[in-house]
Amino acid sequence: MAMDVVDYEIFGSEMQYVEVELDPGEAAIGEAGVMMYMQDGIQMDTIFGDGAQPQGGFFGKLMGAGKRLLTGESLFTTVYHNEGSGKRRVAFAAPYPGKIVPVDLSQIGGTLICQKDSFLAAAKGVSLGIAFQKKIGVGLFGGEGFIMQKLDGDGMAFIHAGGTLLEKTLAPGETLRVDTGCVVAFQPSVDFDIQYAGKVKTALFGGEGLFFATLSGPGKVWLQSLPLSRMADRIVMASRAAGGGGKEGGSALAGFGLGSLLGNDE
Amino acid sequence: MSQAAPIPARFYPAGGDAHGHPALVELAGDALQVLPEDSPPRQVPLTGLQAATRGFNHSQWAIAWPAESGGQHMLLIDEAAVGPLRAVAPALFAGGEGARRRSSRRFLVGITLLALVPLLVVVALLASLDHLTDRVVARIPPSVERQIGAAVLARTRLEGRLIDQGPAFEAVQAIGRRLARPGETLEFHLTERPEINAFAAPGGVVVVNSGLLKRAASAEEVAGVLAHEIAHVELRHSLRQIVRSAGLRVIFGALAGDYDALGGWAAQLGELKFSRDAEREADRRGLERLAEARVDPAGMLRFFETLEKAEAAGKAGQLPALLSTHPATQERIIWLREATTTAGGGPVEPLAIDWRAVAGSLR
Ligand SMILES: [Zn+2]
Repeated sequence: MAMDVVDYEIFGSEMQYVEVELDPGEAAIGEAGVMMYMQDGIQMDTIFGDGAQPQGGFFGKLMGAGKRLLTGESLFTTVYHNEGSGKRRVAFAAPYPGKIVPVDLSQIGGTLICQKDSFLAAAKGVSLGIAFQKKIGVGLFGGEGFIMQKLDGDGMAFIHAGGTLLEKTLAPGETLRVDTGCVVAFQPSVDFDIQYAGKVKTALFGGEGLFFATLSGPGKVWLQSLPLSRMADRIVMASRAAGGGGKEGGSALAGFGLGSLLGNDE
Repeated sequence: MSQAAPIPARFYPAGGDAHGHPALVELAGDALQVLPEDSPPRQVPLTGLQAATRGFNHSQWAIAWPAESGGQHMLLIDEAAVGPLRAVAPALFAGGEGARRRSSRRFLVGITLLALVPLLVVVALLASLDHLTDRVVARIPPSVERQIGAAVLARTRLEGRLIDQGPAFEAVQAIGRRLARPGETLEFHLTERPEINAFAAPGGVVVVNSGLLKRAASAEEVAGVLAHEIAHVELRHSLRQIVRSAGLRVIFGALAGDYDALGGWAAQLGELKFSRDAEREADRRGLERLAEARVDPAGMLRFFETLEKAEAAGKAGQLPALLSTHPATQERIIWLREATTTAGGGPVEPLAIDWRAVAGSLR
């Protein structure tokens, strides 16, 4: 059980990137398309699956690939391996304005549940899995869809929150009501549920959704101030006002299609 | 004997902070021994405990007991680690297990229903498609129908030259005039194509291929085919077909955005089936029209007999279009033979057309 210890540094304020330092022989995994640069001596290796089961056999790899297909991610994960003789660095950039959150899985009990497109990078040995959200209401109206990402292990993981980050530890029984779509990640001990906002008028004219996400403790939650979907909606609205065409933003109705049943893109 | 390994947990004392404290939990006879990392150990009798599942997909156990100072102390244990404790005190966990089972059953039922709803909607739409088609067709004004007819004709022009003079053209017009009822707006076109085919477009447009005229032995045979096609116009069959296949495309399109191939295939299948029902009616109405116009219905019968012979001789290349959308020729001939004999010989006036000259004018 040799998890790689990764030293890292986060740069920038609103558009961040994280630089990860690898000792000789160490490795990190990143989502496809987030790598920013890497130093000489780092070998990029695209592997089938998520890099968590190095000797999982063909069937294990196939399962991993199937899971990644479900979450809408690419079938391949890129592993950055330091083949040099000294320390080398590789950097991963956030895809849109926000904050990169370093999470030490060993400090939070080894498991983190996060929204499926907030994962950025991790030390090799952190396993990326999918976790089915088994509450119909939350899957439909919680803003994250039915598929969440599960990070297991005891290394460092880097997740991305849109806008400004709120990191909060909830005491047992303490409940926070959150706009759907603002949940980035939470510990598995947190109860994630939805609550009917109760006022159709508010939903129609107040611009808020019909449902709140409710998070209750104990456990740690990470919230984002700007879900990508909200920013995308504004951009689409603005381009439509400027005369461009655009398709409907993600409304509750859009959640009824079979395609979006397997993951509301937020 | 060897003691079971201590279970890792997180301890949340009543009135403590939100973060809780790492702790180890051990069984000590009838009590639970809680060893927080940074405070003195506690003994809690098993009988005073309450356990419930919580967290993401019920993956955690919250084990609570009342504190002397009011409030509750709580232990958080992962489902994966709780095994040894559950083995000793199964009753403590029974309630939580039940809740977990109920919730996963609810999930399965719910997800099944969610998957079924679109399917049920599609089935309901398909079942009511004929009814919906009738309603839509009833609302289409004649002006739109004429526009569609003009569009079909324009496409026909692209595929083959229209013959608009000469004996063959005149013959088609004469037969058309004889068959048309007073006040009907019908136009007859002759196109230069080898296939034995004729078709009716919305708006009273009837198109005959020159290949059909070449095959026919008399004007009465052509009259039979035209009467059948006029019946299609009368019954607005083409329009229905267009509306219906558009409806099918919409339904399959809505079912899944990119099942275009399946949608097209199903839409075609629908057209085919629809036509076979409609053909029967067109044959019946066509015969009525022939009788009204005093045209010998035997012509219609003879033409289909000619078709059947050609079919048997395997000249498939020449007759796909008319046959593929029409009921099996054999079946049709049997029906026509019966219908023409039972209708009895009404008064008949031959069509005054020199068919030899017509056939001669077509290369
Ligand atoms: Zn027909």
